[in-house]
Amino acid sequence: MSSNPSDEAGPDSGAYVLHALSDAEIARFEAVLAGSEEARSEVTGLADTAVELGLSVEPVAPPAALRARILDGVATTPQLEPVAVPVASAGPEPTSGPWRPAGPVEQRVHRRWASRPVSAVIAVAAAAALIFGGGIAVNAVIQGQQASATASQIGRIQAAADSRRATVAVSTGGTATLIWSASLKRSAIMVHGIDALPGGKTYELWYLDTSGATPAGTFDASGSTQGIVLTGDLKPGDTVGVTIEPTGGSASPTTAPIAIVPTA
Amino acid sequence: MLALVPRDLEGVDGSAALSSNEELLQRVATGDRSAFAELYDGTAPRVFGLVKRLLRDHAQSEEVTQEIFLEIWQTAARYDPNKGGAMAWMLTMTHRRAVDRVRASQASRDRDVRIGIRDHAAAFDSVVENVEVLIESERVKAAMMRLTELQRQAVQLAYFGGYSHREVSAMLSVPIGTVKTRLRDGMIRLRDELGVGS
Repeated sequence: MSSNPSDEAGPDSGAYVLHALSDAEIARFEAVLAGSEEARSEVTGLADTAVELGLSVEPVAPPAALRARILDGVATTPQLEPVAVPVASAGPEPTSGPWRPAGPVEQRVHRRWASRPVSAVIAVAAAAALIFGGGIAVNAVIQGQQASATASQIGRIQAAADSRRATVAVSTGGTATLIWSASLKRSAIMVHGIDALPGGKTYELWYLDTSGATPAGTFDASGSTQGIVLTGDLKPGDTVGVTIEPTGGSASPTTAPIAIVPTA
Repeated sequence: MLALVPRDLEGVDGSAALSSNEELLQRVATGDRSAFAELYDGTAPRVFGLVKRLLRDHAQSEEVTQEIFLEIWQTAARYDPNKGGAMAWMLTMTHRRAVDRVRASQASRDRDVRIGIRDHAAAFDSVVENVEVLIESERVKAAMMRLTELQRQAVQLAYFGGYSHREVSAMLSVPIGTVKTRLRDGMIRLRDELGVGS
């Protein structure tokens, strides 16, 4: 039970897991850990023991206002090294089916979407990190080339000198954050917590100006957060809208917008 | 000690809740904010309780709790369920963050061993003399009572007081090397008494 000075871990393991060492001592001890399986094993057991001490403290309910601040905070905080996880609930994007291209824009949309593999869902984490990251570069681990392309497009918009963003509530539930760059004439939308639509319906994006609405792509809810780059050019003063349309999208909106984000 | 119903972690968290924390944390790693909210609701009282135990000050405890949860959000992808439970990962982070704040705050200057011996004495009393108050779990309390007095005092001051080994050394009037040894021996004894990892 007593420690032996010749033990590989040395005497610092207890103080280490109790966070009682100085920075210099931590650095020294971690160098020891790096080279000693025995020391690592001891530290693991002692760290778990320290957790037992933590669990023995009486829980205290924090104030509700703190919860609100923290949940607001994560909306603008980037995540480090997001990794792909299985997204069991996300079905594949339609690769065929009742798509009715109605114009050049929608044909572009069709090609883009039709070729989008299920792995695009994985872009969600990376794109979410980028868009919520306030311009901070994120070391994203992204799987899937399309997903990577989506994330990097969002990243370019995010990184533009004139990049801006705005978050609005979606009237049917959830939030939408638009990021855009006037100089790139591009925008992307991050939706969070939106409902999955019943069969035969899809979400459609629009660039709206005084002359009307231009289709800017469709998407279906997949996962809790997803990022979509709008097709077509963003013009100065445009407003971005989201509607629910029949599957395949419409040439012009057939329902009232559930989210509206002015860029002017 | 007498007729208290044990409120060990098993009773509070339950295996089902523990496994869902791991799952939630992995969803948080993908940017899932609703999973984060659920994780927060299930774990915040433990995190906040431990932070308050160390910092005592309510406003600072809120600030540090906020920092901790933002760190959880940021680094969730680094959590490896093969290396331990989510609560363990979070409470380890919690303790480190709270201790960081203790050291960085004005209070830590007040606690400087050269000028704050009287404060130390008061803190010592509040930390060491109140095992009954300090430790809710009968199981952990019983394990603590198996340590030597010096081991127990050193571990309590370091863990629940957030004191560095230098401060513990001054407070207990024993050499630093002795404190380190007592901290290690004490934790090894606790580990064995609690059956951690076995």
